[in-house]
Amino acid sequence: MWRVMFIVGLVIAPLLTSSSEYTLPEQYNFDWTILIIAGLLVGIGASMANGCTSGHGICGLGRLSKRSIIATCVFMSSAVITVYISRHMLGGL
Amino acid sequence: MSNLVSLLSGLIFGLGLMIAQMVNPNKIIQFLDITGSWDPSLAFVMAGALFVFGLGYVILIKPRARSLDDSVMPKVSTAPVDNHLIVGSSLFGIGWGLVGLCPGPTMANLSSLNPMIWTFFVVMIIGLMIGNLIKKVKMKVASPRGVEPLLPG
Repeated sequence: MWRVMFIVGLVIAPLLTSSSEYTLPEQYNFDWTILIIAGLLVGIGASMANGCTSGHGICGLGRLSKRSIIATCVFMSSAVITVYISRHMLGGL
Repeated sequence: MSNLVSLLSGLIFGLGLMIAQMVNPNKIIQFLDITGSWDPSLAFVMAGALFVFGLGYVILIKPRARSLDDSVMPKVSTAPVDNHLIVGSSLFGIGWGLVGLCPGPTMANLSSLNPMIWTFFVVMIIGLMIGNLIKKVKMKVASPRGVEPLLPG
């Protein structure tokens, strides 16, 4: 139950700041195919690695977990390489 | 009590993502684009979050044996670095780099009711299930007698 409550808080937080300068993006310009592939990879990757940017990158690193330090280095590197290839070699997907 | 604390935690996490604009995929891509028009601001967001969490962990979390809902505090995993961790993190990074969305900010974007965000969210959940299946299958292959389940995140 507490997990659900956490997500409820996360989902409604942007509504509280919507009248301020901190708003959600007004539009998203994704290619549908890439969006779906990326969603699958993020999901499969986060469950196989037992964590994501928050779980490994903040909580794990903060607790000096060896697995999290390695996971964070790996996903940071692969994300930087992916952006480099898609933006500078393939000319922006 | 623990539900209220969870709700507040989610709210604070979401507010942080909003103020730091980690909810904006373009900003994430700019951060990852170190050879282009690099925007280093999110490095400060991560460093700030790490500092606050690290301090809180040492002072508040580590001394406690049990969490607010009276369950045993999860220990730092001592499992070895395995292929799942490396392959999973690599795939995660590729997906993150392709569109600039990871699970937390994706959920923070849900209230926009944008079909692209919701599509990403649903596909990501399907991906989580596929990832869990892969882990189970490989575990059975590696150890037919079964092994201890790994702690999440």
